[in-house]
Amino acid sequence: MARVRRTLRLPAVVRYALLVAVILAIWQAYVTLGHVPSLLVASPLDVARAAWTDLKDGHLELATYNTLVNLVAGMLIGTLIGFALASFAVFSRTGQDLLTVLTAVFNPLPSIAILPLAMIWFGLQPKSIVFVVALATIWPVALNTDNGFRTINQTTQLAARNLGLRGWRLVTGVLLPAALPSIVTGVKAAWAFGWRTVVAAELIFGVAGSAGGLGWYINNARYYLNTSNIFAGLVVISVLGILVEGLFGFIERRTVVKWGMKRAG
Amino acid sequence: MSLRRLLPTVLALAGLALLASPLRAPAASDAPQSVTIAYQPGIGYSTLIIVRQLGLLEKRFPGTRFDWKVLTNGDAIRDGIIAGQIQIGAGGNGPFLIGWDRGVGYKLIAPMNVMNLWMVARADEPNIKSLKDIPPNAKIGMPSPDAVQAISLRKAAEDQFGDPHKFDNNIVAIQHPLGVQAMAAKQLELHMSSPPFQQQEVEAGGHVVFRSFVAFGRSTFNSVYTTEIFAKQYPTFVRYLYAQLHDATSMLKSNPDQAAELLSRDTDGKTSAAKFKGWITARDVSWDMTPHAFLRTAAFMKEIGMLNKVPANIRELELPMLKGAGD
Repeated sequence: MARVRRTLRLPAVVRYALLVAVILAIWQAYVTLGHVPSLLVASPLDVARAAWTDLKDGHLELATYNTLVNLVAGMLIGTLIGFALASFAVFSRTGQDLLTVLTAVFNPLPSIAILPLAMIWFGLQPKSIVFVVALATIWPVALNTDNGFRTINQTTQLAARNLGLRGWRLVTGVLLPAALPSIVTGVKAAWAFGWRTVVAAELIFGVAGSAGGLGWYINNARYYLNTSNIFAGLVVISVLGILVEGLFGFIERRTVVKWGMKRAG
Repeated sequence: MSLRRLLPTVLALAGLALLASPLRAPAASDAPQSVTIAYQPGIGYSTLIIVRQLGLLEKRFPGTRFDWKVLTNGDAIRDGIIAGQIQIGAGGNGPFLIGWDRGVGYKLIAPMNVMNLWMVARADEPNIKSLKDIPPNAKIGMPSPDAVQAISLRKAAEDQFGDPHKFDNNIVAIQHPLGVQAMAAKQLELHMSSPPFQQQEVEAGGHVVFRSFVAFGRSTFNSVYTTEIFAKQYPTFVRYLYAQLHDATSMLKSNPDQAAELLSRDTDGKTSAAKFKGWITARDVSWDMTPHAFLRTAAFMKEIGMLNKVPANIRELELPMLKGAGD
Protein backbone atom coordinates (compact mmCIF):
# COMPACT_ATOMS: atom_id res chain seq x y z
CA MET A 1 0.00 0.00 0.00
CA ALA A 2 0.97 3.66 -0.32
CA ARG A 3 3.56 4.91 2.12
CA VAL A 4 1.39 7.09 4.32
CA ARG A 5 3.24 9.57 6.47
CA ARG A 6 2.15 9.08 10.03
CA THR A 7 0.81 12.58 10.58
CA LEU A 8 -2.15 11.12 12.42
CA ARG A 9 -0.95 8.83 15.15
CA LEU A 10 -4.18 6.89 15.42
CA PRO A 11 -4.63 3.12 15.51
CA ALA A 12 -5.61 1.62 12.17
CA VAL A 13 -9.08 0.62 13.34
CA VAL A 14 -9.91 4.17 14.39
CA ARG A 15 -8.64 5.55 11.08
CA TYR A 16 -10.78 3.08 9.14
CA ALA A 17 -13.83 3.79 11.27
CA LEU A 18 -13.39 7.54 10.73
CA LEU A 19 -13.16 7.05 6.99
CA VAL A 20 -16.26 4.87 6.95
CA ALA A 21 -18.14 7.47 9.01
CA VAL A 22 -17.14 10.21 6.57
CA ILE A 23 -18.26 8.14 3.59
CA LEU A 24 -21.58 7.35 5.28
CA ALA A 25 -22.09 11.04 6.03
CA ILE A 26 -21.44 11.98 2.39
CA TRP A 27 -23.83 9.24 1.25
CA GLN A 28 -26.56 10.41 3.64
CA ALA A 29 -26.06 14.04 2.64
CA TYR A 30 -26.20 13.12 -1.04
CA VAL A 31 -29.53 11.35 -0.61
CA THR A 32 -31.12 13.95 1.69
CA LEU A 33 -29.85 17.10 0.01
CA GLY A 34 -29.71 15.81 -3.56
CA HIS A 35 -33.39 14.77 -3.60
CA VAL A 36 -32.52 11.40 -5.07
CA PRO A 37 -35.62 9.24 -5.49
CA SER A 38 -35.53 6.72 -2.63
CA LEU A 39 -36.53 4.16 -5.24
CA LEU A 40 -33.05 4.39 -6.73
CA VAL A 41 -30.73 5.04 -3.80
CA ALA A 42 -31.54 4.34 -0.17
CA SER A 43 -29.92 6.50 2.50
CA PRO A 44 -27.71 4.86 5.14
CA LEU A 45 -30.39 5.58 7.75
CA ASP A 46 -33.07 3.84 5.63
CA VAL A 47 -30.73 0.92 5.13
CA ALA A 48 -30.05 0.67 8.86
CA ARG A 49 -33.78 0.81 9.56
CA ALA A 50 -34.55 -1.88 6.96
CA ALA A 51 -31.75 -4.09 8.26
CA TRP A 52 -32.91 -3.62 11.85
CA THR A 53 -36.52 -4.54 10.99
CA ASP A 54 -35.45 -7.70 9.20
CA LEU A 55 -32.99 -8.60 11.95
CA LYS A 56 -35.70 -8.25 14.56
CA ASP A 57 -38.09 -10.63 12.84
CA GLY A 58 -35.28 -13.03 11.93
CA HIS A 59 -35.55 -12.67 8.14
CA LEU A 60 -31.99 -11.53 7.65
CA GLU A 61 -30.49 -14.08 10.05
CA LEU A 62 -32.33 -16.91 8.31
CA ALA A 63 -31.16 -15.74 4.87
CA THR A 64 -27.58 -15.43 6.14
CA TYR A 65 -27.78 -18.87 7.74
CA ASN A 66 -29.09 -20.44 4.53
CA THR A 67 -26.34 -18.86 2.49
CA LEU A 68 -23.65 -19.96 4.93
CA VAL A 69 -25.00 -23.53 5.02
CA ASN A 70 -24.83 -23.73 1.23
CA LEU A 71 -21.38 -22.16 1.24
CA VAL A 72 -19.90 -24.36 3.96
CA ALA A 73 -21.37 -27.55 2.47
CA GLY A 74 -20.06 -26.66 -0.97
CA MET A 75 -16.65 -25.61 0.33
CA LEU A 76 -16.24 -28.76 2.44
CA ILE A 77 -16.96 -30.99 -0.53
CA GLY A 78 -14.81 -28.88 -2.83
CA THR A 79 -11.90 -28.72 -0.39
CA LEU A 80 -11.93 -32.46 0.25
CA ILE A 81 -11.96 -33.25 -3.47
CA GLY A 82 -9.26 -30.63 -4.04
CA PHE A 83 -7.08 -32.22 -1.35
CA ALA A 84 -7.63 -35.67 -2.74
CA LEU A 85 -6.69 -34.55 -6.25
CA ALA A 86 -3.53 -32.80 -5.01
CA SER A 87 -2.48 -35.79 -2.84
CA PHE A 88 -3.03 -38.18 -5.74
CA ALA A 89 -0.95 -35.89 -7.91
CA VAL A 90 1.98 -36.06 -5.49
CA PHE A 91 2.09 -39.83 -5.56
CA SER A 92 1.58 -40.67 -9.18
CA ARG A 93 2.26 -39.50 -12.64
CA THR A 94 -1.33 -40.24 -13.65
CA GLY A 95 -2.54 -38.15 -10.73
CA GLN A 96 -0.40 -35.25 -11.85
CA ASP A 97 -1.68 -35.53 -15.41
CA LEU A 98 -5.25 -35.78 -14.17
CA LEU A 99 -4.86 -32.65 -12.08
CA THR A 100 -3.29 -30.77 -14.99
CA VAL A 101 -6.03 -31.78 -17.41
CA LEU A 102 -8.93 -31.19 -15.02
CA THR A 103 -7.73 -27.78 -13.86
CA ALA A 104 -6.98 -26.77 -17.44
CA VAL A 105 -10.55 -27.63 -18.41
CA PHE A 106 -12.51 -26.51 -15.36
CA ASN A 107 -10.51 -23.70 -13.76
CA PRO A 108 -11.29 -21.11 -16.47
CA LEU A 109 -15.01 -21.97 -16.27
CA PRO A 110 -16.85 -19.58 -13.97
CA SER A 111 -18.71 -22.21 -11.99
CA ILE A 112 -21.85 -20.08 -12.00
CA ALA A 113 -22.03 -20.92 -15.71
CA ILE A 114 -22.62 -24.54 -14.66
CA LEU A 115 -25.73 -23.56 -12.68
CA PRO A 116 -28.22 -24.09 -15.53
CA LEU A 117 -26.83 -27.61 -15.91
CA ALA A 118 -26.94 -28.17 -12.15
CA MET A 119 -30.58 -27.04 -12.14
CA ILE A 120 -31.42 -29.74 -14.68
CA TRP A 121 -29.48 -32.38 -12.74
CA PHE A 122 -30.50 -31.56 -9.19
CA GLY A 123 -33.62 -29.50 -9.66
CA LEU A 124 -34.54 -26.21 -8.04
CA GLN A 125 -32.96 -27.10 -4.74
CA PRO A 126 -30.08 -25.97 -2.54
CA LYS A 127 -28.24 -29.05 -3.87
CA SER A 128 -27.69 -27.23 -7.16
CA ILE A 129 -26.12 -24.30 -5.32
CA VAL A 130 -23.90 -26.58 -3.22
CA PHE A 131 -22.77 -28.28 -6.43
CA VAL A 132 -21.64 -25.08 -8.13
CA VAL A 133 -19.96 -23.83 -4.96
CA ALA A 134 -18.05 -27.13 -4.68
CA LEU A 135 -17.01 -26.79 -8.29
CA ALA A 136 -15.81 -23.26 -7.65
CA THR A 137 -13.66 -24.32 -4.68
CA ILE A 138 -12.05 -27.55 -5.93
CA TRP A 139 -9.57 -25.92 -8.30
CA PRO A 140 -8.04 -23.20 -6.15
CA VAL A 141 -7.61 -25.73 -3.32
CA ALA A 142 -6.17 -28.43 -5.60
CA LEU A 143 -3.77 -26.10 -7.41
CA ASN A 144 -2.48 -24.38 -4.29
CA THR A 145 -2.16 -27.60 -2.31
CA ASP A 146 -0.32 -29.25 -5.18
CA ASN A 147 1.96 -26.26 -5.41
CA GLY A 148 2.52 -26.43 -1.64
CA PHE A 149 3.41 -30.13 -1.79
CA ARG A 150 5.76 -29.54 -4.67
CA THR A 151 7.69 -26.70 -3.09
CA ILE A 152 8.41 -28.54 0.17
CA ASN A 153 12.05 -28.56 1.03
CA GLN A 154 13.71 -31.64 -0.51
CA THR A 155 15.62 -32.33 2.73
CA THR A 156 12.42 -32.47 4.75
CA GLN A 157 10.88 -34.91 2.33
CA LEU A 158 13.94 -37.15 2.18
CA ALA A 159 14.23 -37.16 5.94
CA ALA A 160 10.61 -38.22 6.24
CA ARG A 161 11.07 -40.98 3.71
CA ASN A 162 14.22 -42.13 5.54
CA LEU A 163 12.12 -42.40 8.67
CA GLY A 164 9.97 -44.79 6.71
CA LEU A 165 6.91 -42.55 6.32
CA ARG A 166 4.80 -43.52 3.34
CA GLY A 167 1.39 -42.79 1.84
CA TRP A 168 -1.24 -41.28 4.05
CA ARG A 169 1.14 -40.86 7.03
CA LEU A 170 3.58 -38.96 4.85
CA VAL A 171 0.77 -36.64 3.77
CA THR A 172 -0.66 -35.96 7.23
CA GLY A 173 2.63 -35.99 9.17
CA VAL A 174 4.92 -34.03 6.89
CA LEU A 175 3.42 -32.79 3.65
CA LEU A 176 0.32 -31.13 5.12
CA PRO A 177 2.04 -29.07 7.83
CA ALA A 178 4.88 -28.15 5.50
CA ALA A 179 2.50 -27.09 2.77
CA LEU A 180 0.18 -25.27 5.14
CA PRO A 181 0.90 -21.72 3.91
CA SER A 182 -0.08 -22.73 0.36
CA ILE A 183 -3.10 -24.63 1.62
CA VAL A 184 -4.32 -21.63 3.59
CA THR A 185 -3.83 -19.49 0.49
CA GLY A 186 -5.82 -22.06 -1.50
CA VAL A 187 -8.68 -22.19 0.96
CA LYS A 188 -8.72 -18.40 1.08
CA ALA A 189 -8.98 -18.24 -2.70
CA ALA A 190 -11.64 -20.96 -2.57
CA TRP A 191 -13.64 -18.94 -0.05
CA ALA A 192 -13.46 -15.89 -2.31
CA PHE A 193 -14.70 -17.89 -5.31
CA GLY A 194 -17.25 -19.80 -3.28
CA TRP A 195 -18.71 -16.71 -1.63
CA ARG A 196 -19.23 -14.93 -4.93
CA THR A 197 -20.66 -18.07 -6.48
CA VAL A 198 -23.16 -18.78 -3.71
CA VAL A 199 -24.61 -15.27 -3.78
CA ALA A 200 -24.75 -15.24 -7.57
CA ALA A 201 -26.43 -18.66 -7.66
CA GLU A 202 -29.05 -17.54 -5.16
CA LEU A 203 -29.75 -14.50 -7.28
CA ILE A 204 -30.43 -16.65 -10.32
CA PHE A 205 -32.92 -18.97 -8.74
CA GLY A 206 -34.51 -18.62 -5.38
CA VAL A 207 -36.70 -20.87 -3.36
CA ALA A 208 -38.92 -18.49 -1.47
CA GLY A 209 -39.28 -18.53 2.27
CA SER A 210 -37.42 -21.08 4.34
CA ALA A 211 -34.68 -22.06 1.90
CA GLY A 212 -33.83 -18.61 0.54
CA GLY A 213 -30.38 -17.15 1.17
CA LEU A 214 -28.95 -13.65 0.92
CA GLY A 215 -29.02 -13.62 -2.88
CA TRP A 216 -32.70 -14.47 -2.74
CA TYR A 217 -33.23 -11.84 -0.03
CA ILE A 218 -31.79 -9.20 -2.37
CA ASN A 219 -33.75 -10.43 -5.37
CA ASN A 220 -36.93 -10.57 -3.33
CA ALA A 221 -36.39 -7.00 -2.18
CA ARG A 222 -36.02 -6.05 -5.83
CA TYR A 223 -39.31 -7.73 -6.71
CA TYR A 224 -40.98 -5.57 -4.08
CA LEU A 225 -38.93 -2.49 -4.99
CA ASN A 226 -37.66 -2.21 -1.41
CA THR A 227 -34.43 -0.50 -2.33
CA SER A 228 -33.30 -0.09 1.28
CA ASN A 229 -33.57 -3.87 1.77
CA ILE A 230 -31.47 -4.47 -1.32
CA PHE A 231 -28.81 -2.28 0.27
CA ALA A 232 -29.23 -4.05 3.61
CA GLY A 233 -28.54 -7.41 1.93
CA LEU A 234 -25.44 -6.00 0.28
CA VAL A 235 -24.20 -4.61 3.59
CA VAL A 236 -24.59 -8.03 5.25
CA ILE A 237 -22.68 -9.70 2.42
CA SER A 238 -19.90 -7.16 2.70
CA VAL A 239 -19.68 -7.35 6.50
CA LEU A 240 -19.57 -11.16 6.41
CA GLY A 241 -16.81 -10.94 3.83
CA ILE A 242 -14.78 -8.68 6.12
CA LEU A 243 -15.37 -11.00 9.09
CA VAL A 244 -14.22 -14.09 7.21
CA GLU A 245 -11.14 -12.28 5.89
CA GLY A 246 -10.42 -11.38 9.51
CA LEU A 247 -10.91 -15.00 10.52
CA PHE A 248 -8.36 -16.12 7.93
CA GLY A 249 -5.94 -13.46 9.17
CA PHE A 250 -6.40 -14.78 12.70
CA ILE A 251 -5.80 -18.40 11.62
CA GLU A 252 -2.69 -17.36 9.71
CA ARG A 253 -1.30 -15.44 12.66
CA ARG A 254 -1.89 -18.44 14.92
CA THR A 255 -0.28 -20.94 12.55
CA VAL A 256 1.93 -20.15 9.60
CA VAL A 257 2.98 -16.68 10.80
CA LYS A 258 3.69 -17.92 14.32
CA TRP A 259 5.73 -20.81 12.95
CA GLY A 260 7.75 -18.42 10.83
CA MET A 261 6.55 -19.90 7.54
CA LYS A 262 5.02 -16.68 6.35
CA ARG A 263 5.68 -13.07 7.25
CA ALA A 264 2.86 -11.09 8.81
CA GLY A 265 0.95 -9.27 6.06
CA MET B 1 -5.16 -5.61 4.51
CA SER B 2 -8.80 -6.38 3.87
CA LEU B 3 -10.14 -3.07 5.08
CA ARG B 4 -7.50 -1.16 3.22
CA ARG B 5 -8.43 -3.02 0.09
CA LEU B 6 -12.08 -2.25 0.68
CA LEU B 7 -11.72 1.49 0.95
CA PRO B 8 -11.02 2.34 -2.70
CA THR B 9 -14.08 0.31 -3.62
CA VAL B 10 -16.25 2.21 -1.18
CA LEU B 11 -14.92 5.50 -2.53
CA ALA B 12 -15.55 4.42 -6.10
CA LEU B 13 -19.11 3.46 -5.20
CA ALA B 14 -19.69 6.81 -3.53
CA GLY B 15 -18.43 8.48 -6.70
CA LEU B 16 -20.75 6.42 -8.85
CA ALA B 17 -23.70 7.34 -6.68
CA LEU B 18 -22.84 11.02 -7.08
CA LEU B 19 -22.83 10.63 -10.87
CA ALA B 20 -26.30 9.07 -11.03
CA SER B 21 -28.79 11.88 -11.44
CA PRO B 22 -32.60 11.88 -11.27
CA LEU B 23 -34.72 11.97 -14.44
CA ARG B 24 -35.45 15.25 -16.16
CA ALA B 25 -38.63 16.21 -18.03
CA PRO B 26 -38.30 18.22 -21.27
CA ALA B 27 -41.23 19.96 -23.05
CA ALA B 28 -44.02 18.11 -24.88
CA SER B 29 -43.54 17.08 -28.50
CA ASP B 30 -45.12 14.87 -31.11
CA ALA B 31 -43.13 11.69 -31.02
CA PRO B 32 -40.05 10.39 -29.25
CA GLN B 33 -36.82 9.78 -31.12
CA SER B 34 -36.82 6.21 -29.98
CA VAL B 35 -39.15 4.12 -27.93
CA THR B 36 -38.75 0.71 -26.35
CA ILE B 37 -41.92 -1.31 -25.89
CA ALA B 38 -41.58 -4.36 -23.67
CA TYR B 39 -43.98 -7.23 -23.13
CA GLN B 40 -43.85 -10.84 -22.02
CA PRO B 41 -44.39 -14.26 -23.57
CA GLY B 42 -47.96 -15.58 -23.59
CA ILE B 43 -51.41 -15.04 -25.00
CA GLY B 44 -51.96 -12.17 -22.54
CA TYR B 45 -49.85 -9.92 -24.75
CA SER B 46 -51.71 -10.68 -27.99
CA THR B 47 -53.13 -7.15 -28.20
CA LEU B 48 -49.66 -5.64 -28.23
CA ILE B 49 -48.31 -8.31 -30.58
CA ILE B 50 -51.09 -7.48 -33.08
CA VAL B 51 -50.20 -3.78 -32.87
CA ARG B 52 -46.60 -4.76 -33.53
CA GLN B 53 -47.47 -7.03 -36.44
CA LEU B 54 -49.71 -4.42 -38.13
CA GLY B 55 -46.83 -1.93 -37.98
CA LEU B 56 -49.14 1.10 -37.92
CA LEU B 57 -47.18 2.82 -35.13
CA GLU B 58 -44.07 2.67 -37.26
CA LYS B 59 -46.03 4.06 -40.24
CA ARG B 60 -47.58 6.90 -38.25
CA PHE B 61 -44.28 7.92 -36.58
CA PRO B 62 -41.61 7.32 -39.23
CA GLY B 63 -39.03 9.40 -37.36
CA THR B 64 -39.18 7.18 -34.28
CA ARG B 65 -36.93 4.21 -33.82
CA PHE B 66 -39.02 1.36 -32.38
CA ASP B 67 -37.55 -1.40 -30.28
CA TRP B 68 -39.87 -4.24 -29.27
CA LYS B 69 -38.58 -6.42 -26.46
CA VAL B 70 -39.92 -9.64 -25.00
CA LEU B 71 -38.87 -10.02 -21.35
CA THR B 72 -39.80 -12.94 -19.18
CA ASN B 73 -41.32 -11.20 -16.17
CA GLY B 74 -43.10 -8.04 -15.12
CA ASP B 75 -40.37 -7.09 -12.66
CA ALA B 76 -37.76 -6.89 -15.40
CA ILE B 77 -40.04 -4.57 -17.37
CA ARG B 78 -40.76 -2.42 -14.33
CA ASP B 79 -37.04 -2.17 -13.56
CA GLY B 80 -36.42 -1.18 -17.19
CA ILE B 81 -38.97 1.62 -16.85
CA ILE B 82 -37.35 2.85 -13.63
CA ALA B 83 -33.97 2.83 -15.32
CA GLY B 84 -35.43 4.75 -18.28
CA GLN B 85 -34.64 2.01 -20.81
CA ILE B 86 -38.25 1.07 -21.45
CA GLN B 87 -40.93 3.65 -22.23
CA ILE B 88 -43.96 1.43 -22.76
CA GLY B 89 -44.30 -1.68 -20.65
CA ALA B 90 -46.87 -4.42 -20.27
CA GLY B 91 -47.47 -6.80 -17.43
CA GLY B 92 -49.67 -8.12 -14.69
CA ASN B 93 -51.29 -5.93 -12.07
CA GLY B 94 -49.16 -7.22 -9.14
CA PRO B 95 -45.83 -5.72 -10.16
CA PHE B 96 -47.73 -2.74 -11.59
CA LEU B 97 -49.40 -1.91 -8.26
CA ILE B 98 -46.17 -2.37 -6.30
CA GLY B 99 -44.39 -0.02 -8.69
CA TRP B 100 -47.24 2.48 -8.38
CA ASP B 101 -47.03 2.25 -4.57
CA ARG B 102 -43.26 2.78 -4.49
CA GLY B 103 -43.48 5.83 -6.75
CA VAL B 104 -42.33 4.62 -10.17
CA GLY B 105 -44.74 7.24 -11.53
CA TYR B 106 -46.46 5.18 -14.19
CA LYS B 107 -50.13 4.77 -15.07
CA LEU B 108 -52.29 2.55 -17.24
CA ILE B 109 -52.60 3.34 -20.93
CA ALA B 110 -55.05 0.46 -21.16
CA PRO B 111 -55.75 -2.97 -19.71
CA MET B 112 -55.69 -5.67 -22.40
CA ASN B 113 -57.61 -8.63 -21.08
CA VAL B 114 -59.34 -10.53 -18.32
CA MET B 115 -58.01 -14.03 -17.77
CA ASN B 116 -58.62 -16.79 -15.32
CA LEU B 117 -55.24 -18.23 -14.35
CA TRP B 118 -54.98 -21.87 -13.41
CA MET B 119 -52.78 -23.61 -10.94
CA VAL B 120 -52.09 -26.95 -12.60
CA ALA B 121 -50.92 -30.05 -10.72
CA ARG B 122 -48.78 -32.66 -12.44
CA ALA B 123 -50.54 -35.72 -13.88
CA ASP B 124 -48.75 -38.02 -11.41
CA GLU B 125 -50.01 -36.04 -8.41
CA PRO B 126 -53.65 -37.17 -8.49
CA ASN B 127 -53.99 -36.65 -4.74
CA ILE B 128 -53.59 -32.88 -5.05
CA LYS B 129 -57.15 -31.93 -5.92
CA SER B 130 -57.48 -28.57 -4.23
CA LEU B 131 -55.39 -26.10 -2.23
CA LYS B 132 -55.86 -28.03 1.01
CA ASP B 133 -54.19 -31.11 -0.49
CA ILE B 134 -50.91 -29.34 -1.25
CA PRO B 135 -48.18 -31.03 0.82
CA PRO B 136 -45.88 -28.72 2.82
CA ASN B 137 -42.83 -29.56 0.70
CA ALA B 138 -44.52 -29.28 -2.71
CA LYS B 139 -43.09 -26.69 -5.06
CA ILE B 140 -45.40 -24.26 -6.82
CA GLY B 141 -43.84 -22.52 -9.80
CA MET B 142 -44.84 -18.88 -10.48
CA PRO B 143 -43.24 -16.03 -12.40
CA SER B 144 -42.35 -14.11 -9.23
CA PRO B 145 -43.44 -13.69 -5.61
CA ASP B 146 -45.24 -10.43 -6.41
CA ALA B 147 -47.01 -11.73 -9.52
CA VAL B 148 -50.78 -11.76 -9.73
CA GLN B 149 -50.60 -15.55 -9.47
CA ALA B 150 -48.98 -15.26 -6.04
CA ILE B 151 -51.38 -12.56 -4.89
CA SER B 152 -54.50 -14.50 -5.82
CA LEU B 153 -53.05 -17.60 -4.13
CA ARG B 154 -52.46 -15.57 -0.94
CA LYS B 155 -55.99 -14.23 -1.07
CA ALA B 156 -57.38 -17.74 -1.43
CA ALA B 157 -55.10 -18.97 1.38
CA GLU B 158 -56.46 -16.25 3.64
CA ASP B 159 -60.07 -16.97 2.70
CA GLN B 160 -59.76 -20.75 3.08
CA PHE B 161 -57.14 -21.20 5.82
CA GLY B 162 -56.96 -17.79 7.51
CA ASP B 163 -53.26 -17.48 6.67
CA PRO B 164 -52.32 -15.56 3.52
CA HIS B 165 -48.72 -16.74 3.80
CA LYS B 166 -49.55 -20.45 4.06
CA PHE B 167 -47.94 -21.23 0.70
CA ASP B 168 -45.16 -18.63 0.65
CA ASN B 169 -42.50 -21.26 1.35
CA ASN B 170 -43.74 -23.37 -1.56
CA ILE B 171 -43.36 -20.66 -4.16
CA VAL B 172 -40.51 -21.03 -6.63
CA ALA B 173 -39.83 -18.09 -8.94
CA ILE B 174 -39.68 -19.40 -12.48
CA GLN B 175 -40.55 -18.03 -15.91
CA HIS B 176 -43.58 -19.57 -17.62
CA PRO B 177 -41.80 -21.50 -20.41
CA LEU B 178 -39.18 -22.86 -17.97
CA GLY B 179 -41.94 -23.76 -15.53
CA VAL B 180 -43.64 -25.90 -18.17
CA GLN B 181 -40.32 -27.72 -18.66
CA ALA B 182 -39.82 -28.06 -14.91
CA MET B 183 -43.27 -29.67 -14.65
CA ALA B 184 -42.34 -32.14 -17.38
CA ALA B 185 -39.04 -32.85 -15.59
CA LYS B 186 -40.94 -33.39 -12.29
CA GLN B 187 -39.10 -30.58 -10.52
CA LEU B 188 -42.35 -28.80 -9.73
CA GLU B 189 -45.48 -30.39 -8.34
CA LEU B 190 -47.64 -27.44 -9.33
CA HIS B 191 -47.38 -24.52 -11.71
CA MET B 192 -49.47 -21.39 -11.94
CA SER B 193 -48.81 -19.55 -15.17
CA SER B 194 -51.11 -18.13 -17.82
CA PRO B 195 -52.57 -19.06 -21.21
CA PRO B 196 -51.35 -20.82 -23.32
CA PHE B 197 -48.94 -22.48 -20.86
CA GLN B 198 -51.71 -23.60 -18.52
CA GLN B 199 -53.61 -25.16 -21.43
CA GLN B 200 -50.45 -26.96 -22.59
CA GLU B 201 -49.98 -28.43 -19.12
CA VAL B 202 -53.56 -29.63 -18.99
CA GLU B 203 -53.19 -31.11 -22.49
CA ALA B 204 -50.13 -32.95 -21.11
CA GLY B 205 -52.35 -34.59 -18.50
CA GLY B 206 -52.22 -32.10 -15.62
CA HIS B 207 -55.33 -31.08 -13.71
CA VAL B 208 -56.48 -27.69 -12.44
CA VAL B 209 -56.29 -27.21 -8.66
CA PHE B 210 -57.14 -23.53 -8.33
CA ARG B 211 -58.33 -20.64 -10.51
CA SER B 212 -57.42 -16.99 -9.94
CA PHE B 213 -61.03 -15.72 -10.33
CA VAL B 214 -61.77 -17.51 -7.04
CA ALA B 215 -59.70 -14.81 -5.31
CA PHE B 216 -60.83 -11.48 -6.80
CA GLY B 217 -63.52 -12.39 -9.29
CA ARG B 218 -63.10 -11.35 -12.91
CA SER B 219 -59.82 -9.46 -12.92
CA THR B 220 -57.60 -7.72 -15.41
CA PHE B 221 -54.56 -9.83 -16.16
CA ASN B 222 -52.25 -7.69 -18.32
CA SER B 223 -52.12 -3.98 -18.99
CA VAL B 224 -50.03 -1.57 -20.99
CA TYR B 225 -48.54 1.29 -19.02
CA THR B 226 -46.16 4.21 -19.28
CA THR B 227 -44.81 6.92 -17.01
CA GLU B 228 -46.81 10.10 -16.55
CA ILE B 229 -43.72 12.01 -17.63
CA PHE B 230 -43.68 10.19 -20.97
CA ALA B 231 -47.46 10.57 -21.41
CA LYS B 232 -47.24 14.33 -20.79
CA GLN B 233 -44.28 14.70 -23.08
CA TYR B 234 -45.72 12.73 -26.02
CA PRO B 235 -49.52 12.91 -25.68
CA THR B 236 -50.12 12.35 -29.41
CA PHE B 237 -48.01 9.23 -29.40
CA VAL B 238 -49.66 7.74 -26.32
CA ARG B 239 -53.16 8.52 -27.66
CA TYR B 240 -52.33 6.87 -30.97
CA LEU B 241 -51.01 3.81 -29.17
CA TYR B 242 -54.24 3.68 -27.16
CA ALA B 243 -56.26 3.79 -30.39
CA GLN B 244 -54.15 0.97 -31.82
CA LEU B 245 -54.70 -1.14 -28.73
CA HIS B 246 -58.41 -0.44 -29.05
CA ASP B 247 -58.46 -1.63 -32.68
CA ALA B 248 -56.43 -4.73 -31.82
CA THR B 249 -58.84 -5.56 -29.00
CA SER B 250 -61.78 -5.24 -31.41
CA MET B 251 -60.02 -7.55 -33.83
CA LEU B 252 -59.41 -10.16 -31.12
CA LYS B 253 -63.10 -10.06 -30.24
CA SER B 254 -64.79 -9.82 -33.61
CA ASN B 255 -62.26 -11.25 -36.02
CA PRO B 256 -60.29 -13.93 -34.17
CA ASP B 257 -59.27 -15.54 -37.46
CA GLN B 258 -57.32 -12.50 -38.58
CA ALA B 259 -55.91 -11.99 -35.07
CA ALA B 260 -54.77 -15.63 -34.91
CA GLU B 261 -53.16 -15.24 -38.34
CA LEU B 262 -51.13 -12.24 -37.11
CA LEU B 263 -50.14 -14.01 -33.89
CA SER B 264 -49.01 -17.04 -35.85
CA ARG B 265 -46.97 -14.78 -38.12
CA ASP B 266 -45.31 -13.35 -34.98
CA THR B 267 -43.96 -16.85 -34.20
CA ASP B 268 -42.80 -17.23 -37.83
CA GLY B 269 -45.51 -19.82 -38.30
CA LYS B 270 -44.09 -22.14 -35.62
CA THR B 271 -47.44 -22.11 -33.87
CA SER B 272 -50.41 -22.47 -36.20
CA ALA B 273 -53.17 -19.90 -36.51
CA ALA B 274 -55.67 -22.59 -35.64
CA LYS B 275 -53.93 -23.15 -32.30
CA PHE B 276 -53.90 -19.41 -31.57
CA LYS B 277 -57.55 -19.13 -32.46
CA GLY B 278 -58.34 -21.82 -29.91
CA TRP B 279 -56.37 -19.98 -27.24
CA ILE B 280 -57.68 -16.46 -27.85
CA THR B 281 -61.28 -17.65 -27.92
CA ALA B 282 -60.94 -19.93 -24.87
CA ARG B 283 -63.60 -19.71 -22.19
CA ASP B 284 -61.34 -18.25 -19.49
CA VAL B 285 -59.94 -15.56 -21.78
CA SER B 286 -61.62 -12.29 -22.73
CA TRP B 287 -60.38 -9.13 -24.40
CA ASP B 288 -61.39 -6.11 -22.39
CA MET B 289 -59.90 -2.63 -22.06
CA THR B 290 -61.75 -1.75 -18.87
CA PRO B 291 -59.75 -2.15 -15.65
CA HIS B 292 -61.19 -4.92 -13.47
CA ALA B 293 -60.44 -5.64 -9.78
CA PHE B 294 -57.44 -3.28 -9.43
CA LEU B 295 -58.91 -1.65 -6.34
CA ARG B 296 -59.89 -4.96 -4.69
CA THR B 297 -56.47 -6.41 -5.41
CA ALA B 298 -54.72 -3.31 -4.07
CA ALA B 299 -56.80 -3.35 -0.88
CA PHE B 300 -55.79 -6.96 -0.21
CA MET B 301 -52.13 -6.22 -1.01
CA LYS B 302 -52.22 -3.37 1.50
CA GLU B 303 -53.84 -5.66 4.05
CA ILE B 304 -50.99 -8.20 3.86
CA GLY B 305 -48.32 -5.52 3.73
CA MET B 306 -47.37 -5.73 0.05
CA LEU B 307 -48.48 -2.13 -0.49
CA ASN B 308 -48.09 0.90 1.76
CA LYS B 309 -51.09 2.75 0.36
CA VAL B 310 -54.13 2.05 -1.79
CA PRO B 311 -55.50 4.13 -4.66
CA ALA B 312 -58.54 6.13 -3.47
CA ASN B 313 -60.16 5.61 -6.87
CA ILE B 314 -59.28 4.07 -10.19
CA ARG B 315 -58.33 7.44 -11.70
CA GLU B 316 -55.14 7.39 -9.63
CA LEU B 317 -54.00 4.43 -11.72
CA GLU B 318 -55.21 5.57 -15.15
CA LEU B 319 -54.09 7.95 -17.85
CA PRO B 320 -56.90 10.26 -19.08
CA MET B 321 -57.83 8.06 -22.09
CA LEU B 322 -59.55 5.58 -19.80
CA LYS B 323 -61.83 8.32 -18.40
CA GLY B 324 -62.05 6.80 -14.94
CA ALA B 325 -63.69 3.61 -16.15
CA GLY B 326 -63.41 0.34 -14.28
CA ASP B 327 -62.52 -0.67 -10.75
